[in-house]
Amino acid sequence: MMEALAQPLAMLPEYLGGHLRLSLGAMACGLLIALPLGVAAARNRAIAGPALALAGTFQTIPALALLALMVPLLGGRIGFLPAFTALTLYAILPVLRNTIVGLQGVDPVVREAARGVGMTRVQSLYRVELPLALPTIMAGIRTASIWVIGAATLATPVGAASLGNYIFSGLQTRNWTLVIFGCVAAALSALIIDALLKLMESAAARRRAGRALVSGAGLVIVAALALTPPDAFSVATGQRAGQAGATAAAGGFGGTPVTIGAKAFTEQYILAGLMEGVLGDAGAQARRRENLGSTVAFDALVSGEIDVYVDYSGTLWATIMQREDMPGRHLMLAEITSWMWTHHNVLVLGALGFENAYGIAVSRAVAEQEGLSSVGDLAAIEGVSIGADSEFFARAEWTSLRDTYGLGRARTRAMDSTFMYAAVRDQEVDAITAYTTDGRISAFDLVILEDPAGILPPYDALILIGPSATGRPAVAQALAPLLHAVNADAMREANGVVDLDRRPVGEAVAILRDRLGHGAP
Amino acid sequence: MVLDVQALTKTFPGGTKAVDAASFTVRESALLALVGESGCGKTTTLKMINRLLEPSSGTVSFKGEDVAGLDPVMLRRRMGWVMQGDGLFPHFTVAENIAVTPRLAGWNAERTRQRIGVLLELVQLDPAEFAHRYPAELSGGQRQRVALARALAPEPPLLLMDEPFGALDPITRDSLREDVQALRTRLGFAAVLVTHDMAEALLLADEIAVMRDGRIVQIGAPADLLLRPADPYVETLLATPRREAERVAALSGQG
Repeated sequence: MMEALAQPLAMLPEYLGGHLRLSLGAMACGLLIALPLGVAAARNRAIAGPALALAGTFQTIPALALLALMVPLLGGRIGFLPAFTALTLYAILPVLRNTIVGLQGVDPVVREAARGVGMTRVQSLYRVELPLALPTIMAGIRTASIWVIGAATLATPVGAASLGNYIFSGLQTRNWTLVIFGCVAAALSALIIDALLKLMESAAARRRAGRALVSGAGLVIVAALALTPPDAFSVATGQRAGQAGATAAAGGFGGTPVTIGAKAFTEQYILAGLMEGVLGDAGAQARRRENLGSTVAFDALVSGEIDVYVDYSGTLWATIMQREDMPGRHLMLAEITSWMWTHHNVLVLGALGFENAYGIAVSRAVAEQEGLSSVGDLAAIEGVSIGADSEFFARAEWTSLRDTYGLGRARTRAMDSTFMYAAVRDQEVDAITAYTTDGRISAFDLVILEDPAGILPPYDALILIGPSATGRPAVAQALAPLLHAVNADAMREANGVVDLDRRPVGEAVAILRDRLGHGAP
Repeated sequence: MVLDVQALTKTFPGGTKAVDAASFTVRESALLALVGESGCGKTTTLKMINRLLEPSSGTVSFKGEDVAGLDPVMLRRRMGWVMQGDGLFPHFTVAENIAVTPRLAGWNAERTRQRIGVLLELVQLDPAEFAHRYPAELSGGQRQRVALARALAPEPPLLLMDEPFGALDPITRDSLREDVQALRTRLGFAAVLVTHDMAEALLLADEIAVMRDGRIVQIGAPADLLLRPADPYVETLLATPRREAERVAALSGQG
């Protein structure tokens, strides 16, 4: 048990610190906006209506979408800023609403009494109206803090470290200990902050100095925890970073660390680990930004938030370049390379050597029983159901696949990629859009159906180097040995280590590096 | 003269004339009662005195100064204000409620503390027992006494009272009226009392102004009103106290 917890515990200072920094920062900023706005709106209906409507609109946008939207809105910035901005917007509504309701709920007789005894408007506000509205306002603040601490777990896909890193990584690698660890840590944080706020409220309402002291001290400790750099918790980490920094200067990487991005699935974690190792060997100080949303990763590369990551030709072609035609593998690669360079100064270093395509997979038993060999054969199954990640059904490939093979009546079920392999094995769905490098295809005895019309585009894994790193040739040089070095078998095996054997990502990286002949140092 | 009100008029947006050319004066230490039915403009008149409302025309002079030229906040700190319903601050203790205006006026802690003790004694509340209670822990009569003490805290030359005894039971009301009279004798402040109860006005006032539809229809000492009511309306207001007095006299005569 302790061994299982050692790995998540080691990351706790970074993730919890990031989580608290984000949520407390967003709460503080949200309060700075919502409280004055609420005071103004309580006195002026012309402000109250639009302010509540606007804050309410932000609230109806799902948190995950609001966070992701902030990335393009902030010019491709990933990490703290977009997450912080989205969470701040999220914090505003409950505080604003309760401030307005609380202030308007103050007995008009008491308000008139305040004027009658000779208080100015400001004195009336601070001495009478706000103290009387305090329980309502505090209820709003507590609601907001619970929402924000919960929603901060969704900061992971936009590249901000939070307790969500446990949850997203855990879900992708089917490491339920990690998922539960992340959930419990987030829930505990929310409960502790809520308890401190509650204590502070009762201290203020009953004017108990002792309670005020305890709650104040508690919040200061939490804030201090949030602001302490994670390195301070571990001497070893600090030393390692120092050593890497020293050698980096010597390695021609210009002293700045190389940031490696990864999307939120196993293969991406492994490839990021692989690149980190290779760059580290070359003397670069490398760090990883994992669990980025699919298009967030590209935006982050263009804006310089990350320096390098692996994306797939088909994804770039359809999602980034918005192309629907299928010119064939080599032409497509050439076009992507030139488009990336001319439009975004992004260097397509080359292919890793394997393809992680979408392939329509069915279980071997069903394939034999129904006589399935090509995608078109599925149309013959009454009420056929197809499972895929939510991204797939939004792509042009699905539309043309459906129209070409007569799958217009197929039932589509969007699900997390972690679960779809088991779903098709257990025949909960008839077919899935599998990733062809996934270790579970062979492990679960699935077969990939043929695509005779060539609808599904090639998905060669490509190393992309962003504008921030193209000026540092050492990065490209260090990564070049990986080109055409990872074949589909090697990748499938490495993925299987994590997805099937439930081993840590680091182990899969080590196995892959062994196979490539770059043994771990 | 503490208060000199001349041709005071309030026209609300929409054209309703709530107060129409009201004029009256209040002498040092005297109590003037503004009597009339609900909506006759008596509360509006009172609120124009301490500028909770601004008059449409007319003047209010307080100790020889036109209040229009004074800072309304500073003006209100110089006039005591007891309102309909006690208007106590529910989050303040009795002592803190009484200390509001002295604190706003920047009194030091010792002077404020002594004043609180004196005032609580004056309104017949034991400081040791009541100073640290919250308004919710008091009876209606006790709350109104605290409101009175709060209004008198800055030693104002003029006390404005808007139906201060309206919500109390008859015994409590009577005892509070007695207290107000005792306090006036002792502290010597002048007062304007708004009430719809002619009997109360007859009991407490040195001078009574009867208001109807925004106008003052008669003004004079209680005896003047009883002897020479100016019109049938004033007579109507006097009818009930007269009948009560006659009945009590008749019953006492029999006994």
